Amino acid sequence: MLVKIKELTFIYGEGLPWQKKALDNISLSINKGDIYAIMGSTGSGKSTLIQHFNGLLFPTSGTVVVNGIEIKSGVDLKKLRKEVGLVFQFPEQQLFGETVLEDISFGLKKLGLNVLENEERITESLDLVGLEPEKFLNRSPLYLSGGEKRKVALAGVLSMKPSILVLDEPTAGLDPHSRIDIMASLLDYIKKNEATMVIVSNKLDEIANCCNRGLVLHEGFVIFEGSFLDLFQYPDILFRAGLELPFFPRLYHRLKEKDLKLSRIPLTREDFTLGVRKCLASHRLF
Amino acid sequence: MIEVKEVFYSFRKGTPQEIKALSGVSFSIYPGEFVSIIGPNGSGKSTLAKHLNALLIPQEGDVYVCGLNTKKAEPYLIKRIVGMVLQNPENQAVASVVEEDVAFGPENLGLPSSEIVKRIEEALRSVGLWEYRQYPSHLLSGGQKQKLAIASILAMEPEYLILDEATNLLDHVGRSEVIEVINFLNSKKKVAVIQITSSMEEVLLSKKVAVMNNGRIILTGSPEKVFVNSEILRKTNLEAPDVVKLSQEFIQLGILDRVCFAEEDLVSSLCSLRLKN
Amino acid sequence: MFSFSQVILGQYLPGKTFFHRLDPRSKILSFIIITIGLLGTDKLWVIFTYLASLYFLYYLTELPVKYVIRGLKPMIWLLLITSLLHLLFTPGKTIMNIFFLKITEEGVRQAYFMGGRLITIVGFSLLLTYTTSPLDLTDGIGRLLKPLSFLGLPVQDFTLMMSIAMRFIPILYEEADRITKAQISRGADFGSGNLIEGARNFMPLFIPLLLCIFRRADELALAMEIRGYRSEGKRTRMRELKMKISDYFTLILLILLTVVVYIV
Repeated sequence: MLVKIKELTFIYGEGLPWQKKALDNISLSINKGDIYAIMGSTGSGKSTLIQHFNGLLFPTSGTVVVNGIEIKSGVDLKKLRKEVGLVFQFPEQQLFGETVLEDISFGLKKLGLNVLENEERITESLDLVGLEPEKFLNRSPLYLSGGEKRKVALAGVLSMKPSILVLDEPTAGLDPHSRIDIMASLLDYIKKNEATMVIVSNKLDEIANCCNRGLVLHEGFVIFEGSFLDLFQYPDILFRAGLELPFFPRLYHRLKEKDLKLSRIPLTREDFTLGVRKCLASHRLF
Repeated sequence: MIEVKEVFYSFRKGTPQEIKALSGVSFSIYPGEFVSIIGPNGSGKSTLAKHLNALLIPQEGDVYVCGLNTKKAEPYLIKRIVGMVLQNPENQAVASVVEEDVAFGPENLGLPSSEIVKRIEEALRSVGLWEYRQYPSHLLSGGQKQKLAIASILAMEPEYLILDEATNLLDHVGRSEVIEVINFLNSKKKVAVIQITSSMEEVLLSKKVAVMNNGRIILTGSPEKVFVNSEILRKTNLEAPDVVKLSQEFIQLGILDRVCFAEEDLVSSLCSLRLKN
Repeated sequence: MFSFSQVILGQYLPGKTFFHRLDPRSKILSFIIITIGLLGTDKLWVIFTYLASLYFLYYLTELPVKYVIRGLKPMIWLLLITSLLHLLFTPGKTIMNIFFLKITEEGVRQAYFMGGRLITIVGFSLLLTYTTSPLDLTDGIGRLLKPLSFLGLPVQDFTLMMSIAMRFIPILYEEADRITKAQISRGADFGSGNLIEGARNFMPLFIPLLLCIFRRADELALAMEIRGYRSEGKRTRMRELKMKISDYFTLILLILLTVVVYIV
C-alpha cells in the first residue's frame, strides 16, 4: 500500500484558546496506480489532509505512512518529498524564475542529474503539458496566459517525476479548454510513469471520468469512502457535503424520480445515450 | 441605457507590443436587461466590461452611460450608475467588518450618515447577509464574500451590475448562492445584469448573449439562438451547455425532435416518450 | 478554515457595552492619559489599582479572558527582557552576586515595576483594540491628526492606508505560509547555507510574495475605484464620530485621576 492513513486527527493551534479541529479521525488507503479523489467543499479540510502526504503537517494523533515512511517530526522528509509531488492551488502564483527554463530547473536541480538528463526531463515535461519547448523555454513566465502559466508550474513538478502526484484543485479558475488540457496531461503522465495520483476537487464533473475511488470530506469528517459508482448512488451524501452530482448521474436520478430507470449509473455521454436507448427499447419505442 | 459606439482600444498602444483588445465594438444595454458576454480568452470581454463603467476610456469611439459620455463625465458619477464585481472574492473587501465594507461606497459618494445606514441595511438584506453585518469580512465563505462585494455595490444603488467571472472561483454552494442573489436583483429589483462568464450553464440564465471574438462582437441574440449556431461556436472555441449537446445527440438518434435548454425540459421530454407508448 | 489572522492581530470583538460605545477619539486619548499616569507613579499599590480596574473593565466589556491571554502572548518576551535588563543593570544596594552580575534591591523593585507597568499598558491597549473596530480606530487617529491636514498633509489617504494595511497583514501572512510550503514541496531549502546562499534561497519565497502583494494591491485599487473612491474627494462616514457627554466625562475623570496619581 502506497499511502496508509489511520485515525488521523489534526488540530490547528493545539492547546491554544483558538484551536480548531480540521481533520477528525480520518482513515484511508491508496494503492499504487490508483487515481484517488478527495472531494469536499471549501473549508472541509481537503487542503489540510493533503499537506500530510509529504510532511508539511504532522498528525496531532493517528498515523500517516507514505511510501513506507511514517510521517512524524524527526524523520528526514527530503527523500519523501522527491517522491511526492504536491501541487498547491494556483501553483502559477509560485513561479519566480526569469525564464520558464529557470523555473522548471528549480526543483530538478535538487535531484542531482547530469546536464543531458536535465535537459531531457525539461523538454519531456513541457511536451507533456502541451507547450512547445523551443517556443516557451526562454520566455518569462510572467507574460504567459493564465492557462500557460498553470501548465509551466505543473511541468516544474512533473519534471521531477514524482511517483505520487498530489494536486489541490489543479484546474481551479481556468477556462474550460485549459481545464480539459490539464486533466489530459495529468492522466498522460500517470500512464507513462505508472504513477499514483491524488486529486482534490469540488468539481465532480471533471474527475468523474478518470478517478476510480475517493472520499468525501465534510467539516473534517469522512462522510463517504469508496468507488464513484457507489457514491453516485446516494445523492444525499454529496448534497450534505455541498457538492454537485455530475451531469450524467444527475440526469439518471432525475429520470429515476420520474420512473424512467436506466440499468446503471452513466458516467459518460456514451453510457447515458446507450442507457436511454436500451431503456426506451425495452418499452418497445425504438 | 448604455451605448457603446464603434469603440477601439489597444493595450500598450503605439509600442511594438501593442495588443488590440477592441476593434470597433458597438453594443447597447437597456435598463433591466440580463446580458451575457462570452468569448474565448483574449477576445476582449473584460476590456469591453471595463469600458461600461469608465474604468477604461475608449481610445476611439464613445461610450454613453445614461447619456453621459465616459470621456467627459466625472468617473465616479459613472461608477454610481454602473457597479462591478470582480472574480477574486479575496481582494474586494476594503474594510475588515462587513457593514463597514458596505459603507465604503456610499461614503465615497458623500452621502449623509443616516442615508448610509439605511442603504447598508437594504443592501445587506438583499443579498441575505444582514445577520452578518458585524462579522469580520475575512471569515466569510467564498460565496458570502462575493455576496458582500455585490452588497457593497448595491449600496451605491446602481442601475447596472457587471459581474466579471464573479462565480468562477467559487464552489458549488457559493456559486448557487450568488446566482440566486443575481436572479433576485434582476427580476425583483430591476437591476440590469451584465455577466462575463465561461460557464455556459450560467449563460442560460440571461436573456441576451453577445459573443466576442478578436475584439469584435460577432453575434448577439438569445442563448437559444447562440447555442445552436454551431459555426459561431466552432469559430470561438466555445461549447454549448451539456444539456444542449446531449439533446442534439438525441435529435440525431431520432429520439427527440427539438433542442432542450434546461435539464427539466430534457428529463420530461425523455419521460414523455415513454408515456406516449 | 483556520486563519493566521486570528493569531496575529488584536482582533476587534463587536459588542454593545459602554466601552464599545465610547468615541474612538476619547478611547485613544484615555489610553494616552492612562499611560502617562502609569509612567508617572512610583508606588506599587497604584499600579495594582490600575491593574485591578483593568480587570474590572474587562469584566464590564464582557471580553473572554482567553482573548486577553492570547493578545499578551507575543508581548511576553518584551516583558521578560525589559524586566531582566532592569533587574541586572540597576545600580544600588547589592543583595545577590551571580558571577560578575550584581542584583540590587533597586533592581528587583525596578524589574517588577516595569513588568507591572508594561502588562497594564498592554492590557489597556488590548482593551482599546478589542472594543474598537480597526476602521473606527484609524478614523479616530485620523480625526486626532486632522489639524495636520491644514499643513497640507494627506491625512485622509493616510488613515485609509492604515486601515487597509491592518486588513491585509494577516492575509499576507497566510500567503507567505502557503508559498513557503509550496516551494518546500518542490525541494526548496529555507533553513541552511551561509548568508549569501541563504538570501538566494529566499528568492523563491520573496519574488512570488512580492508579486502577490502587487497583484492584490492592483485588484484592491480597482475595487476601490469601482466604488467611487477619489483621493481628493470629500468622504462622509457611516458613523459620524460624535463626542458624547459620557466621552467628556470619562476624559475628565481620567485626567483628574492622573493628577491625583502624580500628587500622591
